[in-house]
Amino acid sequence: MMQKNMKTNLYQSNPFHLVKPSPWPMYLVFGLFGFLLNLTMMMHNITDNYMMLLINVITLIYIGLLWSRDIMGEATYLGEHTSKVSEGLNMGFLLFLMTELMWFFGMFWAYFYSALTPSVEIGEIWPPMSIMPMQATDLPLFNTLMLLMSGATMTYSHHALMARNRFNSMFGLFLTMLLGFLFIICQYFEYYYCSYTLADSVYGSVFFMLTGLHGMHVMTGTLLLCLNFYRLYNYQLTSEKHTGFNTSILLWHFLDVAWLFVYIVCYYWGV
Amino acid sequence: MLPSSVDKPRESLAQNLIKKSKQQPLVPLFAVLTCGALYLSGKAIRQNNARLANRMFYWRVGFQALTLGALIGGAYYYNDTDVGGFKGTPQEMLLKKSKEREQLWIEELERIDRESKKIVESKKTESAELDNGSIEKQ
Repeated sequence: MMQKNMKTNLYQSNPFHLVKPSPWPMYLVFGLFGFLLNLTMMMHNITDNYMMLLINVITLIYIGLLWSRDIMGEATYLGEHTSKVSEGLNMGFLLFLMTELMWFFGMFWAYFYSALTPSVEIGEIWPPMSIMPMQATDLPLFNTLMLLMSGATMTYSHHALMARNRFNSMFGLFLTMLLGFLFIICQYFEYYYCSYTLADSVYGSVFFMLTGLHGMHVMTGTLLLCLNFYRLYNYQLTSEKHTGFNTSILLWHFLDVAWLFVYIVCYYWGV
Repeated sequence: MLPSSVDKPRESLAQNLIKKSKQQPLVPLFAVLTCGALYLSGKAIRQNNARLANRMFYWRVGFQALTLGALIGGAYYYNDTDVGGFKGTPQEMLLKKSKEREQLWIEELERIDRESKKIVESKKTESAELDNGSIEKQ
């Protein structure tokens, strides 16, 4: 397979990556379908079997890793990612970030729709009469500071990579991963000790939807950082060419900025 | 009929947001600058200019730190007790909330009482007038 690919590259007269058939998109779609089905069934109390959901999550992560492994092979060992292909990947990732931006925009819209003209059912005040909003200067502030620090360590790692400093780059990336994990753990405790749930009026719904959306993205972002750490460790990223690293960094910074607005709106000024 | 809580003019979220933005204009300003830096870094990545992107990320982190500083500094400067609802222990907060709820309920009861008294009063005058014959029975 590798030999065949190398020969193709020798005779290919265009810089584009003509992808080979891959099973991962189809597997991923089946995995997502199962995940969605089990999640919906659990939410509607049709089943209370958490194991199925866990298996779904593991399957999804596993398929993601296999797909990433293929892409890493194509990029590093088969040399399929030419400058032109990298340009396309960057463009694709920026378009993906645009959809993310619109998703967050939609969620903020939902928040303001409920908050600016609170309905009669919640006492026409925001936050609703029965809701005790979270203390902004408590754990959320700690979380915010952690994300801010992770942005700094991420930039430090990126700078070190471009300056050809392997140890500093790996150290910075490791710190970023650690801060990401800590953020997820703190968010878990925040949810655990929260006095309201997803089902407690529209406030609970929009609050958990916004913070949960961000939390899920942080989990994905941390996974991406782990992949990048693996690649850095294996000398797959160079100081000149590290498209995957660049896009992961961009996602991380995007999430930081999204959290800034979530923090201002959901914890500080919006309650 | 509207609940009595409507009678009390409360500051809406929009008014609150506008007031705070005017009071602490540095917060929205730095937040917009943070977004601007992020936009420029995205643009730099598209142009394959990782060095410029890195520099913009520096600015992004810096502006975000300034936003946070302005946010927290402003809250301390204006002694904003409304940060995240209430300053104090959760018990105190619960107590405050329950007192507020109790007050609203008392107001509601008083309003109902006033209205029923008014109805009784009007019935009394009506029957008295009927007895006097000042108005005819229908």
